[in-house]
Amino acid sequence: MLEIRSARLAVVLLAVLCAVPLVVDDFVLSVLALVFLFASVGQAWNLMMGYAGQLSLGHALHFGAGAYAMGLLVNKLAVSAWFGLPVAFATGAVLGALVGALGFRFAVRGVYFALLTIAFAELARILVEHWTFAGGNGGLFLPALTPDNQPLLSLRGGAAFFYYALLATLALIWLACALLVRGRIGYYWRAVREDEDAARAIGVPATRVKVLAAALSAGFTGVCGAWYALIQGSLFPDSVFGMRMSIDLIIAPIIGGLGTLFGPILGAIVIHPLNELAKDIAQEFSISGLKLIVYGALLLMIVLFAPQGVWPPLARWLRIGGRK
Amino acid sequence: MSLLRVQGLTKVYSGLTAVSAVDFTVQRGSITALIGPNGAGKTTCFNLIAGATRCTAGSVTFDGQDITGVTPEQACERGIARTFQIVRPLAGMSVLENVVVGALLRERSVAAAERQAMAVLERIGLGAKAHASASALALPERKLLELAKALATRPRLLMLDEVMAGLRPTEADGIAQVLRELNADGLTILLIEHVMRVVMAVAQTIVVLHHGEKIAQGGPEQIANDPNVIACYFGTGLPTLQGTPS
Repeated sequence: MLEIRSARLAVVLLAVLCAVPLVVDDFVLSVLALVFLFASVGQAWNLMMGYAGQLSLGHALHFGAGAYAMGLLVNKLAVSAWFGLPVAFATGAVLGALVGALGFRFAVRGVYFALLTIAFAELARILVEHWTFAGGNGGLFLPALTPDNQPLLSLRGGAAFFYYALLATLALIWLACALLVRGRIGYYWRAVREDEDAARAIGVPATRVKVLAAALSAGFTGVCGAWYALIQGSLFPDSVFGMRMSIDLIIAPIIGGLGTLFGPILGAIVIHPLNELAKDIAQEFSISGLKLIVYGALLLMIVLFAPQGVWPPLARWLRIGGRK
Repeated sequence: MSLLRVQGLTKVYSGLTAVSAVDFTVQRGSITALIGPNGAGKTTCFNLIAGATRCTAGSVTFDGQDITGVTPEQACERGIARTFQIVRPLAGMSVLENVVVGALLRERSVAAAERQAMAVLERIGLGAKAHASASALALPERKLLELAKALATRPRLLMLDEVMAGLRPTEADGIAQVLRELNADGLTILLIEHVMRVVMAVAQTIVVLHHGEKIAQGGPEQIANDPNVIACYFGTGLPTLQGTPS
């Protein structure tokens, strides 16, 4: 059972968010759609890091894999975009399970596991860069939208369509995470996070449980990658598989609060508008890399003033349950 | 009837033999103590039995089945629960949640595990602290939590590593009483202990290790008078220090 306060907050938030398109313009909606996208990935990454305690710095692998899966299906195989979503999930999940199994089977832990994830993401980037079928460095382009495009069929449309689509995705991923975390697997994940050896001594099948976290996390990330492909309409290996993307994906949950259900969402709400603002200012005043300076400054402030993230103090103020 | 049988148990770390060809059995329903000076290899034996460390040689038989080389979670599943010398609570979780993790091994649902966990906590006297954070407990309560986590897995053999260390006599007696009650209900206990008062009062069989080898085994009376045991704790004659007149 979901905690009542948490559930109430989620419902209220959802209701408010559903009404937003009535009062804001398309530009804001498109920014918000991306906020929801990154909040969803943040939630997925948080499953592995915040709950199971396994650091992945190569989540771009799953994001890019999902994006390219969707891109290739829609572009080259003219398959319905709806089919692309489960395929993206499966692609991500398989990759996540693979990297996880490889790492955990050989007791690769902590920062060494993180390095392993970086290696795999880079491997994917380089492979796809040389994969001519997928467009290589020149990129993969989704077919242009025709005037009689049906958003519900092609899963591509205007700002309002993507706003609702990504809101639904976020809601579903949030719900899935909430249910998992409250159940048996959630207890096992948290036990492994706190002290893996102590957990194993009381019967927790640590390796199995970590691989599951990796697979689910990667699967959800793959789905988000698929949506990214649909929104952007074009994919380049350097941007979706690159280290920059891996970092972009994890800033929000870190700032928002690891190991919490609302942290990643809050983090995304804080980061991405700031991102847009930084991009604008950078263009105005020709400062490049402003976004990274902003990230660095934010991280510094979080570490100094709210090391658990922005959500936990807010949650205490709203009197919603402790760190789960 | 033996529940646990250890034969030729050996662990060699490059250059150091921590445990050397140790043989002993733990009778079903007994309380057996494993004693010896620091560095004798007692905790290493526990690690070898419970699967936390790989044996270099030797075998471990539990309830008639060879369990040499199983993983810690497999050993726990088979019915061996162990505690750690330096307690390892799951710090970010509450006392109840800590025990639920253990209970989930045997219970299907989280609700059933919570009921089982609460029952275990009440049994050993930690019920009132169920919702406290595990990191906020004082040492005696941490020891009890360590015990509760192990008990929640419904073990047939409970292995305790220096559970009395750091406790005042009354606190130690409290835990000793709980152990006696659990044993009376049929739980086999193997404990590593330095607090001799407790060992002599509670153990039916004592196994003594020294420098990785077994040097004696028997009842409390026998062990207390065994010259080898006395020698390993006190040495033979008075030691001389370098540079002092003998």
